[in-house]
Amino acid sequence: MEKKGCCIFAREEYEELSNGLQLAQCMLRGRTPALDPDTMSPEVTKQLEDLVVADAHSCSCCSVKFPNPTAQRAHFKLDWHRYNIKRQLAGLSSVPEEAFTALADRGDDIESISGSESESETEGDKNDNSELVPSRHAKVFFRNNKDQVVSLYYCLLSSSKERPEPDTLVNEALNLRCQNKWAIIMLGGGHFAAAIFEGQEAIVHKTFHCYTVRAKQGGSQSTRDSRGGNHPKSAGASLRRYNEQQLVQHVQELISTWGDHFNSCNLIFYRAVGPNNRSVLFGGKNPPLDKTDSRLRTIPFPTRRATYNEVQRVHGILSFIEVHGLETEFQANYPPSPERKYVAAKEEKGSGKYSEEVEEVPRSRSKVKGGIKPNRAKSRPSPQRPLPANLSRPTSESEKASEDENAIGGGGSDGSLTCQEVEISFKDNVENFDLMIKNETKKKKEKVKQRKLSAASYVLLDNRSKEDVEREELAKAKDAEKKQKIAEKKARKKAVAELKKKQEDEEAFSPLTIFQKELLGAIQSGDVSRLQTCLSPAFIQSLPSELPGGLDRILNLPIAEGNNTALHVASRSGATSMISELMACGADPSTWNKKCQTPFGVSATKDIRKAFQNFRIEHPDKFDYSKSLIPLPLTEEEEREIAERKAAQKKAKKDREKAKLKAKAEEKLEREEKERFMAMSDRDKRALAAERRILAAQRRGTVDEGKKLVLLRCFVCGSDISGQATFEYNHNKFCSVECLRVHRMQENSDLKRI
Amino acid sequence: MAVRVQFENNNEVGAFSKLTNSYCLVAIGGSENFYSVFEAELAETIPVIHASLAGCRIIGRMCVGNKNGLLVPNTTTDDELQHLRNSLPDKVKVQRVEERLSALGNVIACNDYVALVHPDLDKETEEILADVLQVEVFRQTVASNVLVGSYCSLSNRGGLVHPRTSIQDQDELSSLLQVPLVAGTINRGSEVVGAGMVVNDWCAFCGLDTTSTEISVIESVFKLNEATPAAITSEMRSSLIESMS
Repeated sequence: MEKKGCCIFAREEYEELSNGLQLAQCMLRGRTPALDPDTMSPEVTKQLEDLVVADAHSCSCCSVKFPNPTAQRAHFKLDWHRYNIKRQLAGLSSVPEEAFTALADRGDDIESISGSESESETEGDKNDNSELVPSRHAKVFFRNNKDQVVSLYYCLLSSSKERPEPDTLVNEALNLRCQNKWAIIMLGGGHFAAAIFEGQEAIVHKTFHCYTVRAKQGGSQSTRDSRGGNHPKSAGASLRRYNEQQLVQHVQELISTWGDHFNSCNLIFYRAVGPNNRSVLFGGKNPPLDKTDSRLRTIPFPTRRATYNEVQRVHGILSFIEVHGLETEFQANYPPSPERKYVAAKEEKGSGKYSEEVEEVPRSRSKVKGGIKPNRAKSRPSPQRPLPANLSRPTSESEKASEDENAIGGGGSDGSLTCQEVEISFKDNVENFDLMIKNETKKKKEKVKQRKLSAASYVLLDNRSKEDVEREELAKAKDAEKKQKIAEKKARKKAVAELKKKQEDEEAFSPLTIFQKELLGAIQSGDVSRLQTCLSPAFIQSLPSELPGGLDRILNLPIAEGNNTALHVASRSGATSMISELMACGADPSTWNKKCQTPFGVSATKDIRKAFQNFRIEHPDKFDYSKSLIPLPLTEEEEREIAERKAAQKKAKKDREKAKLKAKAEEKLEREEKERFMAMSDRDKRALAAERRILAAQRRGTVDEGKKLVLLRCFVCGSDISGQATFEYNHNKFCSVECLRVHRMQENSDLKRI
Repeated sequence: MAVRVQFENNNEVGAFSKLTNSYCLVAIGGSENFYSVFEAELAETIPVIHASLAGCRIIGRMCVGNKNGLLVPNTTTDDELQHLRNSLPDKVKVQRVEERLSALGNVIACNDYVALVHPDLDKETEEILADVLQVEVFRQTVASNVLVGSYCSLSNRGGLVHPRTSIQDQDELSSLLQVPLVAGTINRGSEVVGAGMVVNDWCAFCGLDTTSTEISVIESVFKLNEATPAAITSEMRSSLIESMS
């Protein structure tokens, strides 16, 4: 787009443009006078003096007044008010109540005010609109008396970051023509270009280039060197180092030769990016340019390589006063800052049907007319991007499916997704085939069979009924077979049970069982005579048949639970006389029961053990006693020895007890003495210690070894330390360093308390 | 009395604490110094509770409450809610709110009787607000800012609003809320008065950078010099009577 405007040094045109110059409306908006937190404004002081609840029953947003506070409060809850707030925030005018109700009846635009659910399109536009804050633009916009908006670069007018007052800006702009001597210095990448302009003419200019930038890698040699690591010693590196120095020297020389020009300059623009370039201009012992110089300005737009052409271009751009057209139009195509993407304001679209009524409604505040501050409280709508084709297709299909489901199911929850897991195995399919083949062959076989069966007896209508009948037959046969099997099983079981019973009966009447029963009864009754009769040959002969094996063998068979033999039972039940009786009849004392115990081992009393022993003495050769664990009886000498030993043990025990009692008594005495000693004051302790010492000295002379006397005790724990090396201070004696320290601490605290 | 306090070198104490007439919440993980300032001033009268909301420490911006209740955003975890319920006095109701504008402290400014809310706040939230906090709810902006909670600080005795609020707006708000209002700054010129300070009827805490002038404005508009916890109950505001009638 061709820019309209003129150079500020073109006299007539500039004067024409700058006639009646004042700051444009857009620049004034958002400008707020700086508040000083350290001083109170007179308004606030006045307010603070009489703090009252105001009675302004109005709503400036909707431009209405209320007769009473109740009406006011009711108003602030209305949708109408809310709608107007939103319009106000969007920089639109408020809507009167009638218009709003009409709008609400139509119900088209009201959606957006009923809560925080959906943000309409208007809001997005508004946000874009509000991004542009002209007060922060690189240019300053003015309005002249022809209602044109013209712009100048801010850097021409002021150097401070804080925007000055509108009046000063206007004055600066008007003075600009007189201050027509500008210097432009550009420096970068070893290129240097400088020129001094008076008006549009360049008085002096100079351009040169030094080889300082490293080829391919880029960056200057000094940055490479300062990065650390090895210091390149190549020819190129040293060349570049030398050139960097040369560049600085050249620039400084040049500026010093142009000294007079520079001093008379009104503005100095420079471009020197990065610390290296800046140090050329502002570094060193006596820098060519003063950093604090108020004439210094940076160039507020990107530039190309520093050449004379570029310098001329920069001068042209800076000195250009741009005309943006009438102010009313300017609102619509307001130029953005270079880095911001410009979106055309769509106020017409956002304001809906009420753009005509804007003028009719009186506004209490004018500042809301244009853009507003960005509303950061609003979340921005996320852009709706189309899904990639392969993703979107399945979802649409599934949607369709779910729709169908809903239609069938009579409207379930919409948008629900159903998930089905289907396992497909190859085996099933193959098996299906298998079955088919088998079925066919089976059918054929059956048919053949059936034909044979039914040839004579059945007259069949068709194939199918034939099959049915046959199947029934088969089922019947199977049932019968089953029944037969069950019956057989039952019979077998019965037979087994009968056999068992028979055997038991037989056993019950066998001589062995009878004998064993009798024997057990005799032993458990404790009746020796009954046992004797039981073991007598008369009883044995009275049995219905002869005992298998002899009496001595049968006696050693287990008769009670746990493989206990008769001898075990007798030994446990405690009949002394039965032992010898049984053993005499041949009961072996070395048989084991289930727990590997011999009869002697299970004997209940000492008498029984004695009985076993006696039997062993009486019949030393009857059994092999080595396994029966029956010990040989002691001789008289041995018995005496044992008795003596026991007596000695008893005596020793008695002595020990006596000694214990004595020790206890002594200990008690000692404890009492200790307590008494502990209760004494330090001074008494010392006196006692001295007394005891004297006593000890006397006693040594007499050599009396009677009672042991405690000569010295520890002053803290009271333990006996007579004859030991002691720890002492101030004639206080202690058994250990710990005791001493305790005493010392205690004394210190006592002193402190005093 | 207005007290200067700092949260980890940050002046925005309103972001890290929440003060009402019946309880005080402070963010966990701050320095002991921060807590001790609150506890020294308040511990005798109201509980000072160390809390976090949704794992955040900016509890003052996340929740809104007064002496009657406390509303927390729906991102608050069950544990945190339980902790709050256990620590708060029994008469204080705590409720989670499903609200898109989840920084409730930024979009709602309230005292014990009235609340100013963001114009876009959900209708349901407005109802919950009226039920739980027992306040009358008004949708309004403060100096063309929708974040009424950030740019305005209210107690039952006064209010401090964004410094650029026009006189007309101040008057309207004042008559609406039935408390005297003053436009002012906090923390040496900061406009976010809601985030820069917390206040109840007898005590205020502001950032360490707050100038003496700002402090004196705060003390006079919130009437902190004459206030003691006991005096509040004796002195009833006309607005209270009106709202109850």
